[in-house]
Amino acid sequence: MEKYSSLEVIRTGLKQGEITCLSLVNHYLDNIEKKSHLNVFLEVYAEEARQRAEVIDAKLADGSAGRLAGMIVGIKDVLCLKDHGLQGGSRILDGFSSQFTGTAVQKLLDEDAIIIGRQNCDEFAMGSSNENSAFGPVLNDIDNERVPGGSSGGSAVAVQADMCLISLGSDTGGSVRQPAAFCGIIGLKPTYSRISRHGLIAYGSSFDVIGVFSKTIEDNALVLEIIAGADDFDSTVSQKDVPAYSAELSIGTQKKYKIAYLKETLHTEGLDSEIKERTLATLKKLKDDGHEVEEVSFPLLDYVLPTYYILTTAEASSNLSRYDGVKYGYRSENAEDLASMYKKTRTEGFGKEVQRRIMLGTFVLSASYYDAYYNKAQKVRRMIRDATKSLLQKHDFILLPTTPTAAFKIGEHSSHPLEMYLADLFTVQSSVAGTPAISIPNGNSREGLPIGLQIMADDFKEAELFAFSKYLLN
Amino acid sequence: MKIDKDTLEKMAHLGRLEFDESSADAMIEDMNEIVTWVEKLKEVDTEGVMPLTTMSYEINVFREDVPKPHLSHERALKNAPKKDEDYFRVPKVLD
Amino acid sequence: MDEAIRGKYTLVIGLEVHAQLMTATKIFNSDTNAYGSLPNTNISPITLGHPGTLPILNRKAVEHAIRMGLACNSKISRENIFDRKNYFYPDLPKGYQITQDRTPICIGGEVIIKSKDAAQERAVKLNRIHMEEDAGKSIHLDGSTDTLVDFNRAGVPLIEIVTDPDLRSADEAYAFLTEVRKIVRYLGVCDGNMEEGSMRCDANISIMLKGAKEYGKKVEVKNMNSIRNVHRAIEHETERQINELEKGNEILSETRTFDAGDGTTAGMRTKETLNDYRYFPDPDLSPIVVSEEWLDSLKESMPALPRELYLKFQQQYGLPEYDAQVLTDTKEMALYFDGLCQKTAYHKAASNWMMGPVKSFLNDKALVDIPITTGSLAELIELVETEKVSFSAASKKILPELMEQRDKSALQLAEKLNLIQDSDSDSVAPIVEEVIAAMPEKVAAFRKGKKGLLRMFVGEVMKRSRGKANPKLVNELLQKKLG
Repeated sequence: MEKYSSLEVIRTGLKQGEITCLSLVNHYLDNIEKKSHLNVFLEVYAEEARQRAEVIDAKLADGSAGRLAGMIVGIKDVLCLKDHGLQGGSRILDGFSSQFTGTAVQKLLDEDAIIIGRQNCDEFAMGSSNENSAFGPVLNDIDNERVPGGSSGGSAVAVQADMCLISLGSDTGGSVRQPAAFCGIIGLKPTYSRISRHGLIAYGSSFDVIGVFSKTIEDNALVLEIIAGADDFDSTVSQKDVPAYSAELSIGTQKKYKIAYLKETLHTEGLDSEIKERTLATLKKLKDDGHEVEEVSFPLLDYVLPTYYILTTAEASSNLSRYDGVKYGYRSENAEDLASMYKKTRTEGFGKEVQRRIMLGTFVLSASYYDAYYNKAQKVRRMIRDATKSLLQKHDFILLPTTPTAAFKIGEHSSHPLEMYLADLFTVQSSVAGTPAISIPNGNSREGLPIGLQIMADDFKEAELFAFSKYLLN
Repeated sequence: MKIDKDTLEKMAHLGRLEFDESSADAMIEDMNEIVTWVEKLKEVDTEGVMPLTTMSYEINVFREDVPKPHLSHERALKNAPKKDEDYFRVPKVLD
Repeated sequence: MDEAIRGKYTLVIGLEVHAQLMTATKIFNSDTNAYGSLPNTNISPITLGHPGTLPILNRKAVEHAIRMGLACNSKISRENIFDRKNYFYPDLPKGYQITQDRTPICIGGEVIIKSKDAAQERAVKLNRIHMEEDAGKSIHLDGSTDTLVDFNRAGVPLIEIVTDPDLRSADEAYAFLTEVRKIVRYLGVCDGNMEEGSMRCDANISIMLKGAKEYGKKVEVKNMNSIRNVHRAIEHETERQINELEKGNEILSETRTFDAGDGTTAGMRTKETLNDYRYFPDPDLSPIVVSEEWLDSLKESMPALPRELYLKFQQQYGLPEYDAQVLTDTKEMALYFDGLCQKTAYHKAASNWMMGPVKSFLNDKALVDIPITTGSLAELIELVETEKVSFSAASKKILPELMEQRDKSALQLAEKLNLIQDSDSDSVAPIVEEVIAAMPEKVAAFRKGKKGLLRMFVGEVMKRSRGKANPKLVNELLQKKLG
């Protein structure tokens, strides 16, 4: 077991004086330095983290430290931290400094977590490989010729390569779960509205959720417990109480579960045979252990991705209109008047994939096509959500692979947007439905590449997801 | 539904983007590929289904009408690409 | 314009009124909502559309909107949401405006008006009232290549009141705007100040041949910053359109701007043809559900409305329409008058007092609130009506005193100032006798037919009584004695 694989191990080390927060921060800073070729961090808050570490070491000494003392966290370049740069992986936010700290990040800080830096990601969270960042791709630590997944590629590799204990990313269609699978770690996408979106750069507002990367279930549960809950700055956040997730991890050990898997997912054309094998093996083991495992059909599976792309590009085309060179960020120097200022700023500032999605989103919302595309997609979304929730009411969980393939090579899909979109096939369903899902490691391929297993549950059932995941991992 | 040069120009203008000859062609090709793919949704019978307009479970989320501290004038103008003492500045609209 | 030509056409007008709501904070965040602050001082990351910011709806704004709907007899929509209207302009920070396109909070409704020279009242039909946020201000500098932008106003709550194309003349538009301004002021929802921009109006104007089945092409006119200018703009635009049609030209459906200097409208030279706003439901806001309880409590807390009081003053206090109109011009005067009528039964007299001396006093001192208690004024009115004090003395001498010293009793003041009239025949008759005895030639002249001399006799009696005799009584007695 690695030295700093969990907060529990760290807390023991701190208590016994083997390590201090400062030595811990220095350890991570070393790793970041050693593996800078992975291009994970856009900005490292070295001095600041060291200073905070000293403060927290003092608090630990006098017993006033928060619940996350000793936890070093990295945040995806879509999360606001006051007076720190924020770019969304894009040039269009060059020079921008956040004027407030987002709720989730603030909650971490209030419990004495230390933020060590801002992590590279696909531009505006649009991508599945971290090849769309304006600041260069992130490399997978297991095989530097492969992608780590996206859009939260930097956040995943940071945890994978021991550059921090936890990363906060964002998941709109799989951007936390898919990189978690490609990097062999745990990635949680909570229920939509479980965590406040105040301080999260908006991509697809009715899909965006802050997600958590970790090495252990315990750490993931603790972080969620701290950052979830009601907030005055988000009108959509859930008012429901937040369970003490970290205390409920053993609830499922004696229980027998009802598990479903979707026939269509295991018969998908692009599904890698090893991944199919591993998934089937897990299902068999569960059956052997006395759980009910049922194959169900989900005929709407083919429509999940198109629904996702119509709705997220529509919302994104509107959410990205604020990047106009007027109030902040990049402004083109080549503009003679207002009209050209807008066009040049946005064309020069946004990358190709972002422009593609703005164009598509604009198209599906435009007057003549609204009904055929946007309105239609909203109807299909309701059907997908209802069908998914209906399954999740009859079964405790739905199991499926997180991704159709293991981490692919850099450049493999980047010239075919549609190919790249298909990589999200298994993760988008819970984004469209709003339900929570987690990806946990499920062994490696023969090439040594990590394989992920995805577990979906009904709304607000993160406690059950954690307990079941823990059970599966042991 | 095929996207042509005209549609591209209209959408580009609405989204304040511009394309030159070759990037326009590439974009048209990409968009057509994606649009053809999403048209799959036509296959789904949505008769009688209401569009899903909010994913939140909350209703009547209000704020009381009490002023709270906002940004100082300096912080407000801090990120502005061009400004003076008081205002944000942008190029004029030229007719 | 030749009446014969004008008479061939029907004018069709629809108005869109934007009213800034009187709330302490903006509609979607807690920035101060105030007019006239230094530029860019009432803003926050939410106003500026910084990445990661989200809107939170101001409850007061919703209540104001519902009250306006109740006042106009609109149907209050029980479930409504916000939409995004997408377009680019420097003073629109997010690149979209949050508004209500599909589900306005108030549907339909009416505003009853009586325009100048109209024989009867009319109900102008409303299409909707909805909530939205205001944009910032762009200032175009001469001699500079820059436009300046101030975001103080961005996010200020607005209600937009939209009529059906139901108005038929500039006079009707004038009356409509006047009434709407009254209503919003009575409700405390908006201060209705068009010059400052807290109330703005755009007009959609078209003409068609009388009896035609289809409306003509409509032209939108903007930039009219007073009710009078709306009137001027409509008059001008009507003529312009008629002239075009008479020449055989077609009306171009466009947006024109009004020039207050010469009263004309001009086409705006932007190349924006029909903008596609790509409205869609805003995913960042939760639906508004108006429950029965909420609606009932808002109905109960409605203040008195101009029309209610206008009718009450006629029906309950027996006043003529003219009085009711004047008395309900402002909320302050109307509520005061209603209170006054609880303190005295001399309603018509009270009305005359309000429309006359009180109004003059307020105008002179530029006051809005009446600085005299209804009790005191009622007392004064009663003194005059019971002939204890003359109207002239009361309005010229006592009223100003009461305005300065609110809690003085009118009667006490009258006594102090020695203004109580003598209405006793026993004391007045001898003085009348005296005067008649002293002016035999004048008496003779009067009896011969010079009736105008009566005033002189009255004046003499008044002088000899040091102004205290009741002029009416004096008149009566003189007439009896002089024959």
